Amino acid sequence: MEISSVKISGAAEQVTSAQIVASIDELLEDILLRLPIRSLIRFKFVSKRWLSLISNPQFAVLHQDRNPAPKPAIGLFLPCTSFRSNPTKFEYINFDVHNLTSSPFSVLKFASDPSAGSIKILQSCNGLLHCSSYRAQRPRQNYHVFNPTTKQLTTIPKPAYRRTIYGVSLAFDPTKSSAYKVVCVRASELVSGSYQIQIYSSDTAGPWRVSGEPFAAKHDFKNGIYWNGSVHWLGHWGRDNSLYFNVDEERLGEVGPTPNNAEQEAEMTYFGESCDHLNLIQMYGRPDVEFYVYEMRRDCSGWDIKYMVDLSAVTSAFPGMIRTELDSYDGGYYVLSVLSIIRGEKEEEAFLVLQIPGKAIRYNLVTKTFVKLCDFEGAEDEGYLRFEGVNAYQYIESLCCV
Amino acid sequence: MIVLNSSDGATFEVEESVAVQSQTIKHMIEDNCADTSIPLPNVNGVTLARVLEYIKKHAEAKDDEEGLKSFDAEFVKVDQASLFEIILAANYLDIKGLLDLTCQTVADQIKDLTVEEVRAIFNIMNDFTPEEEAKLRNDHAWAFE
Repeated sequence: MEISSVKISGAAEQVTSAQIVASIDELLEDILLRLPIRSLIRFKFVSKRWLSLISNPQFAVLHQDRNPAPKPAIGLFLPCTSFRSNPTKFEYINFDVHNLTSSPFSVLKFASDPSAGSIKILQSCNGLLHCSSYRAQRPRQNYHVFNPTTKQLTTIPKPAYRRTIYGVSLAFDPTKSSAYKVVCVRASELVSGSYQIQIYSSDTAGPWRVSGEPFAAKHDFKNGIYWNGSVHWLGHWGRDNSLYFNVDEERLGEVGPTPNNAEQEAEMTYFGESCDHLNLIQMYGRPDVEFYVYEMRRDCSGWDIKYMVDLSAVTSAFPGMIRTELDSYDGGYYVLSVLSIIRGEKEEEAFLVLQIPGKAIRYNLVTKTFVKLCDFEGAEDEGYLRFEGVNAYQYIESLCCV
Repeated sequence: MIVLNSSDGATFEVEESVAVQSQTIKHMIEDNCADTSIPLPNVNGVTLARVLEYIKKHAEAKDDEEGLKSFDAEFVKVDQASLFEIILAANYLDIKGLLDLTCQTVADQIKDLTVEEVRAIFNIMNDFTPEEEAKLRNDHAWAFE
């Protein structure tokens, strides 16, 4: 039992039992490990000793072990300004309308990459954000892994070969390991027109190493989603198989297309992971208020319909979603996009985050109730989507060290 | 029956089968240090009485999950100073269930407090310089809203 020194202010004052408990590392840690992450971030300010205890990577691992259930996101980051603007601003959508906590950041500027023109979020993965920076002077990007909860940042060394990089994806699962891997898909130097995978592991801190043989593909490597041990990429066309790379076993696999089987490119696609589920929505032609949400089977053998969504009730409450412009040939169309699907800890907590002109709506997929989450500032009179074709990135609280 | 002596001289009798919920007491009995009575110089009479109330209830109502839950909820409705005394006793006596219960209770009581309120409870001095605090706050301002 370790007892660190206790400060007693004033000669006549007795040491309280609370003081004694706090002075014993194991007891203080036992209490701290039971606190939610937001409280822990705040309590870093109590004293240097508390800061040291809470910031310890081992503490983060123990806290994760006590809270093994996959955490749902509590908000979304939406990049606001154009790619070249400096610095990049982010809009934040809070999922809890009753308890408005603010965003961990509104601007991303990394001190370690000061000459970067702007920072772009590439992917959100179980609490960590994978970012890249655009450097005005040189065309090569820097890749970073950032924990928005703790503000910790690590820059990943660049892959060695001077080949076109098609996509870089973060593979992080705190329930399996506190280390992460980064998967890079680049042009193969051996087989023209083919791709090659390289992997970086945070626990060995590099170097990058080649994995497997060159392979042919037609997939969207810019938007890899990490789920169930693999990075998944969609094909460009509705009827394509999706591709995945199992990071531990280092092998590629394919998943058959959704029953949609369309012979065209989707107008609107949502492809994302939440609470250990991989979901997909694909809309062909103009956005509709009726659509399916697909979920990938755990054995990656295919997709199942998980929800049938009908947003007609939402259009009645928010008629701004319906446009009847003069140039529309079919008498009217809907203006909406799906920003995110959040599955929650319980089945009945699953919801969609919808973007409609000027607003974000939260639509519960099971109870079919909905509520406005926020208005986009200055966008009330706009008839179009403020964040068109923009990916939203989930904010999941995490203590994990990068 | 086992006899326990608190730090302030109070004596308590408890069945051995109940007392061994405390790993510390269990080891003392196994090591034959429990001939006449077991001295517990780290626990005062009032706290020891409470701890015994807990382990007696948990021994006799072992399978009554609902009953134990409501007992535990009532058990921790004490003033904060007593709660910390029980934590120290549960730690010294190595009674896992009681330690879990009391630490969880303290965690629930402090989780929404401000930093100043937490410092007041534990009588902790702020040892950050204004510059250090400002830098930390800059990174984490959002956690305070």
